[in-house]
Amino acid sequence: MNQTIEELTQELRQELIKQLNLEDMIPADFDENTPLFGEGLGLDSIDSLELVVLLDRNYGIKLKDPKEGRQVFHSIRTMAEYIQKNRAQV
Amino acid sequence: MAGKAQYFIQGIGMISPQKTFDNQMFLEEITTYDQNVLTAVVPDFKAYINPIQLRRLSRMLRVGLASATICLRDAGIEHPDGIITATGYGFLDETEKFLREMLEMKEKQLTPTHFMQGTYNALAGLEAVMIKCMGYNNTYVSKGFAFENALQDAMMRLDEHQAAHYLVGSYDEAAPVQFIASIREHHFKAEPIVNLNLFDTTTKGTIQGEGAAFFDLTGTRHENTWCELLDVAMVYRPETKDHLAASLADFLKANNISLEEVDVWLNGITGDAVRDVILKELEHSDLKAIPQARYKHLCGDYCTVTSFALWLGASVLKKQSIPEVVKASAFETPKEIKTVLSVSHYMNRNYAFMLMQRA
Repeated sequence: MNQTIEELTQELRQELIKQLNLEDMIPADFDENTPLFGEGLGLDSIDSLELVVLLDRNYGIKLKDPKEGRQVFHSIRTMAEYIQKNRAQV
Repeated sequence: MAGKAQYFIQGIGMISPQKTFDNQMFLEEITTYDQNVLTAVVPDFKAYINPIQLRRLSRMLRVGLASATICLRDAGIEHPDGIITATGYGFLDETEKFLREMLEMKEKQLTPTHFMQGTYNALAGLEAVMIKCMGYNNTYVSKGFAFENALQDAMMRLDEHQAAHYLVGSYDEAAPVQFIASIREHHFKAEPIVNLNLFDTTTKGTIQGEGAAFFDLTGTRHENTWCELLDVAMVYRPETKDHLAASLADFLKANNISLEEVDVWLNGITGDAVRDVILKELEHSDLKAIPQARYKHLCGDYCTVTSFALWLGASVLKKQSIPEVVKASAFETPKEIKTVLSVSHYMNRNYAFMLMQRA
């Protein structure tokens, strides 16, 4: 699938809202560089599990090293870049 | 019967198919239903649950946590000594989502949230996390006796420590999957009725309800005590009316209360022409002379529905009034209501007595 980074970030924003029940939020509410955890969207450890499942289910990418998740799930942008890179390797 | 200690209800949070979450009101606004499924009238959850936590919670978990918060605020307690919950079927909606996902995803890539929220003790656990209660935490899942078991557990613990506070709660939800299954075994009526006409029907089955209730139970009387809970007892599958009547007589005798002293009794009949037979016989014989109130037309039937009866009894005693909508027939409300008796059944299987007194 040839998705641009922009298309992928837009898709991820929608998926995150749906998967993580981010009520009262629309994709335009957060920037692609907004940190997902901490002071950004304030996601927690259960959300990170949901994100691992989302990567596997939607993009066929298994995150094997938990330490890697810290960088991958930093923002929508880092997730999109990771997806694009690892999809290309398949 | 628990020990010799006294048990007082100091706070209540009740969310039911009627507007009961506001403790200042007492069945002043009645909601009617015409499809045999009565669902909770809910408050604005953001007033009770942190918005960040709120987003992941299922509807019934929100209902449960909100009712627990209402109860604690009403009791003026921040940290109870323990949390004891009861449920017949648990969070069916979340369980169904989890199981469906297992099928669709061929048992792979399952999201954790549905599983976590589908477990029976999710409410007791989340409430403990929310209020940082490190004490006793238990959940009873004994179907039609679950709430009575939870109450008895709290009462036995209060026997050992009168000053303690236990947050005793119950929840059951009107899940569509259960409705369909229950129609097959005629637990719910096949023909749609208006809930307020429940007791006029002559067919098999009742209507589906749901609710979450929390009570702060403590061993000492306080300024804002709702009532004293004298005792709770259970009778499993009484064979005849006489069997049930004898058990009730024993229950009252053990509490030194005569039937004449009961000011009003709460009749837990369900509008089921077949399953109500024993309780109706009791109503027309032993309990005939006592003013009677009914409630399942307002909240429907579910495993832990006796929590609604406890709320109703406690409200009658605290507010010293009996709303017309629960009166089985026209009677003048006694000048002072001292003693309320609840006699109920679930599926003609689980019969329970509760005795409440003005504090």
